[in-house]
Amino acid sequence: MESMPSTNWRMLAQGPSRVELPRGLDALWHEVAGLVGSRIRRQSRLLRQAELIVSMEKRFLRLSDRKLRHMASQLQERFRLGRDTTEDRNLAFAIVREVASREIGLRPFPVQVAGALAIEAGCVAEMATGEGKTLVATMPAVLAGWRGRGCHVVTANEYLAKRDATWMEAVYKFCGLKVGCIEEGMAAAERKQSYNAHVTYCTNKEVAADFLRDRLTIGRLKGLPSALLAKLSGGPGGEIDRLVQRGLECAIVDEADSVFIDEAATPLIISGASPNQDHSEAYELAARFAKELDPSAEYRVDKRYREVNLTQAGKQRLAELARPVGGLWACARRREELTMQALVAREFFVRDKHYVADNGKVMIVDEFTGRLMPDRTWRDGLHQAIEAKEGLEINLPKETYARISFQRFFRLYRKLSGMTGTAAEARAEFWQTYDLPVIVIPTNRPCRRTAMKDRVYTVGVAKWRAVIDEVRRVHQTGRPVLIGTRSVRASEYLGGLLAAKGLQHQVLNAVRQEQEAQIIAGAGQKGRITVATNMAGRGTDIRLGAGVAHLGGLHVVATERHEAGRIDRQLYGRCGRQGDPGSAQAFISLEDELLQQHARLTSAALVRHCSNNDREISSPFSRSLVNRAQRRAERVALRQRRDVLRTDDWLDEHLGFAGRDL
Amino acid sequence: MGIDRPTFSQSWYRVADLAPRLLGAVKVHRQHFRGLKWYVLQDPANNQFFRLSDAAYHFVAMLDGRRTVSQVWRTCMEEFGDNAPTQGEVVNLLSQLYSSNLLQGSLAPDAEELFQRHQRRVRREVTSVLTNLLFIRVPLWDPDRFLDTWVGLVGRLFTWCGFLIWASIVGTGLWAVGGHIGELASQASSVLNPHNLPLLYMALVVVKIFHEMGHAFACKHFGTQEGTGGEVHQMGVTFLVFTPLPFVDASSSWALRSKLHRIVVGASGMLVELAIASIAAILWVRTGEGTTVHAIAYNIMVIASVSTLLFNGNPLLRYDAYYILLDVLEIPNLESRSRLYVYYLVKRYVWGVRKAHDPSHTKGEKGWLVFYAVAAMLCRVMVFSAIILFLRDKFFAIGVIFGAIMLTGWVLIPVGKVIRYLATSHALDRVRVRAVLTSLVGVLSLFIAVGHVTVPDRCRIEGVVEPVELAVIHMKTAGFVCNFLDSGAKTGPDGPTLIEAWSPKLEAQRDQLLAELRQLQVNRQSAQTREAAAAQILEEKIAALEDQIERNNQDLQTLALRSPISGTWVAPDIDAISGAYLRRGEHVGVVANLDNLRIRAIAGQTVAARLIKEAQSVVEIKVRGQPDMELAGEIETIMPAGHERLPSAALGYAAGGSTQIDLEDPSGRRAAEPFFEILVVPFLQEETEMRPGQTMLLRLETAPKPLLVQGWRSLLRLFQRRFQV
Repeated sequence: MESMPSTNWRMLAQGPSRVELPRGLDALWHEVAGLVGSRIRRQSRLLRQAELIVSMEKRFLRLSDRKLRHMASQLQERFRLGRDTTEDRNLAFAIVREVASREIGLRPFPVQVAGALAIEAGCVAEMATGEGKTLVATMPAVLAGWRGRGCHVVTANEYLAKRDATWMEAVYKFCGLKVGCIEEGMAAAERKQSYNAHVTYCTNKEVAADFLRDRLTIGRLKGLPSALLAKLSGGPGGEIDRLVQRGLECAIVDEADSVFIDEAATPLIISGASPNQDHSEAYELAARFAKELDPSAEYRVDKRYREVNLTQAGKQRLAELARPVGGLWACARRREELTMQALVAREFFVRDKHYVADNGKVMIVDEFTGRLMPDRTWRDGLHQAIEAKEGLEINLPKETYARISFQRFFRLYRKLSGMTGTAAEARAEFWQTYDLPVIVIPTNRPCRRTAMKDRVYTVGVAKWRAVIDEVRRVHQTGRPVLIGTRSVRASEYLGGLLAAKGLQHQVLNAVRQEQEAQIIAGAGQKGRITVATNMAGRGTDIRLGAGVAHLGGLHVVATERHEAGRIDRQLYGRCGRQGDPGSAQAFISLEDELLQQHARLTSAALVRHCSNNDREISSPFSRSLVNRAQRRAERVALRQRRDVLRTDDWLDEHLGFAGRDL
Repeated sequence: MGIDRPTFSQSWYRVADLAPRLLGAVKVHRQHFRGLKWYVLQDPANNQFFRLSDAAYHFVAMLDGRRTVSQVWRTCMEEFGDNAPTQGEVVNLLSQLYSSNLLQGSLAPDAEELFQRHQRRVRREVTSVLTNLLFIRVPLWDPDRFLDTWVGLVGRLFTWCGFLIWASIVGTGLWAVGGHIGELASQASSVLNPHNLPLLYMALVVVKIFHEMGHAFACKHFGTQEGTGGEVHQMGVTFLVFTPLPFVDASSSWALRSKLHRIVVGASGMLVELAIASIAAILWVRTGEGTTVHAIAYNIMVIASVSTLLFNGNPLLRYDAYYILLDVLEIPNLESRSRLYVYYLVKRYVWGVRKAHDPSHTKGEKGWLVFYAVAAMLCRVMVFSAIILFLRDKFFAIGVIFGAIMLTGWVLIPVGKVIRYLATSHALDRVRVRAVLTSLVGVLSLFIAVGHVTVPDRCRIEGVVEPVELAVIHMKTAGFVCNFLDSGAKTGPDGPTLIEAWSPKLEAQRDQLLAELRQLQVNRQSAQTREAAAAQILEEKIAALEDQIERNNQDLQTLALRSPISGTWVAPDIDAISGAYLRRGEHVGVVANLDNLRIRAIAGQTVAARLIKEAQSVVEIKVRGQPDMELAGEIETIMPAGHERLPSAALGYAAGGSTQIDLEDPSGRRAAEPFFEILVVPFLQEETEMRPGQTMLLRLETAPKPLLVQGWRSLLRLFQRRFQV
């Protein structure tokens, strides 16, 4: 007798919930509700409840493990049946607290419990760095696990997912729950097993990609009845076993701002080889023609918008060049598109800056982090144009199979919650896009970080000189210094400068996450100098070495401001954790990318005003210039994310006939 | 990328593997517009149309339910090269076809989606009704079978023979009317008479039913002739500015291949009306004035000709002539495309968007598009303002509501959209500064034009002509008129007598008095000799009698009346009183100095207040009923408010003037509101002859003010008057 797991049944029968954003008056109401909601101070109520839960600890202290397990399993039953009450929740949190202290030696503080309550209530809990968010997540995750419909704990990178899963496994195990962890390169069967665990740790990319792959499978199945028939007839019923997920029930997102906001700018695309595409010679020809065109007369380069336009003469020349080829090249638009793409590849893409050619393949370099991204390609034939330019073998462009934006994906969860160190700035966006209210949880101990005023310089050289001076000065006092850079190149450049001055340091580039996590964990030792990109060692605490606290704790130097204030705050949050002392300061030059992109004219005017001297120009005006540029960058990014969402909506509305793109 | 139509689209993957096809029932018609081939898809289920370009049609035609979209696209690319639809265009095309319910095939059967689509359509219809409250349509009847039955008969009219019949009817009608232009004009003023309105409306409905039937039959006739069916499924009532009138949906004429046939279908309504008008004209000429048939014929004639030519014949409004114009110019969707083209021009040349999409297909239509966009806009503004002004006067509340709706729909929403577009559109990413600046400059210059450039500020008031010197002549003594001066003759203190009368009573009295006098004189002479005392008494009696005689003499003399001033003798009814007995004090006529006339004008509070403050003393004067005559004058005095009695009944509503009068006053001279009187002295010109009692229109000019200020002031005044604030 054939059987179908209830999880698959549910997925096929229900399909995903509708995820349209409210419109018109609904949207207005939603916005007003968000505004009103943000005025309500839920913090103190949560803290009171947390105190209540903490006060229950005496009941369990004397209990044997066996009895505690028994209590837990009794509770689990109630949660599974959906008959849990507030008291049950409090009791469950108290039990998890007790279990955590027994199994991994950490007993959640009241603020951590408050954070857990906020997550359980479906909010984003803002908890400062170093407050133990990993532990916080276990409490609502256990509850969700008990409910038995799966719980995804989503983290920013794989290392963290694995680390947290292993770290917290004992707690879940004690509560009678299985833990899974999704890693890159896992086989479908393993994935399925992990997703079928009560609690699954995963990264946002993996979980969304698995979801899309499942949707492709479901799309082939065409609904429950035909899936059942297929299964009965023993035909292609195997399809149904290829589903790895069991529906999107509950997600707890760590680093919620980076997952929900920063990564939401680009949608996730699943693609594969395409059977019939333009022939690879076309790209080679285009590259050849591009070389023959005269840059002054036949095409124009627009540096600001990174585009190339053929002039009338260029078009004619191209037509002459292409005449003997015929075929595809007889068609003017296609011909010009290909050639322009080849010109863009020639004019704007620099080897080893934007990409590296390795083993006969072109690999994209992420300008932001400096990491290689072997599994990503440029679109619209640009990748092929670059391959042609480098004279490599051309890999034909892949075809899109499915596409989803992270905004849309996360809105599919029935219960969504998150936690992060920096959420308050993006409060409005969390509400508008994900219906998530933000609750700021206070720190366990008062924060002792001194934020020093930004220092602004005219040119980059002056800034770097000042950074080195500052590092040396602080280093002499024995305090550890963490220098944050925006890109790998900057971190390497700074590393070179420090080496030239004879300063011992370590450079982290977010390439090997595991080792870097260890390095950064040691960055708090006395006398250490660590240069790290923004992404390096995320989610890892920097504990202060012995005696460092007396010297004044960790000093963080930011060498640039980022596109969002949140990200700056994440870097500053590296010091002054859990009531430690610490200080943070940013060094900015008018040549920084942020200012160049978002306040070009004003900063150019300011440079002229300072008669091009390479000196410090810190003043309220220059600082406000920087802040303005940052706000502008935030707005631009927000608009970009809105567009992603809007594109989704548009596609949904107009291409509904082609099946829902979920 | 600087490419106008990029070949590839990101969303291609969603349609690439589908294998849809057009619905089997869809009919395809080929048409030519300005030398370009187009295909019109007709959905017979709901009579909706969808126009495709040649390349797009080939793409759609190749979809047969077996080939996938991407296969077909590839074939198209090979075959048509640059003209083939790009991926993005295909995606759009499929989505449009799908939402018009024209696609079938391996599509996901999503019931929820279907319902949502239905809901969206309903919502769109509701909003279109709400935004178009002045033109609501209610379909009532499906006339298709009726037309099928009768088209064989009626259809014969749509031939050359029928045209000749039509032409002869119209010709006869014109010829009949030709000799009666004067009567035509004289009756015209009574058309909008309140008593005439129900008749007028009835005539309108009847005429319009024939009009719509004309469309319906023409559509049916040519449809069956060409084999496109020409189905007409909707007939009903449209509420044109709340006036219920019939309408018919003859949109299946769009499927007709022959341009001439389409034009005839569009024009047939008007042709029918003109024929009706001609028949009515003949009737009108043949019947006697005063009969009901005569009145009805006149109304039908006016409606069927004037209203047709004014509304249906105006291509700037979306009535018959518009559709005829489309076919004559061969520019389908002229209105929406002309608007799009103007947007395009603004985007391309004012804002400098290089990638703006040009919606025109051929060179020749560009000029038409621009012209039509501007002309139609002006026309619409004018018509709607007229409607609103009309509503404002008749139904103030509705007028205000419509004003508000129009302000929102025509000003606020478009402006909001433009602002939003300027702020967020990606097309403007590179030229946003320029776009914003040019738009601001545009708006600013508009504001300067409206708000700063002053234009003369004028107002119109009415007045009557009166002489400055005027003598009203009354009978001073009762008597029988025996002789009189003809009215209109010049006279003066030394001039001829105006009227002479004889009074037998006075003459008898004189004779008696004279006789008595003689007797007394005789008595006195005899008394003088006898007793002095008696003579003394007689002396006194004689003196008294002489006094009486003197008075009697005077009375007799005043039987011949003379003018106290020099001027013209005006006594229109003088012929009638010849030989009549006139009592003392009876009005005979006036003597007015016509060389010295002035105008007594009346002005409401609001106008007068402005005049007192800032009026230039020179005014323009026009004679009511003689617009070609122009005079000028000067304000002499403005007499303060408080007058309630009009100087002439001619200024009141009842007599065609513009001043509201108190309805309870029988004389029609009591104004509803007190007014100011303004005396104006005209500069006399030789050839103009003003007559006392003539109504004059005075145009007063005050200091020039910006249009904005003027408009605001009149708006405030309107509300003030309505709400007494």
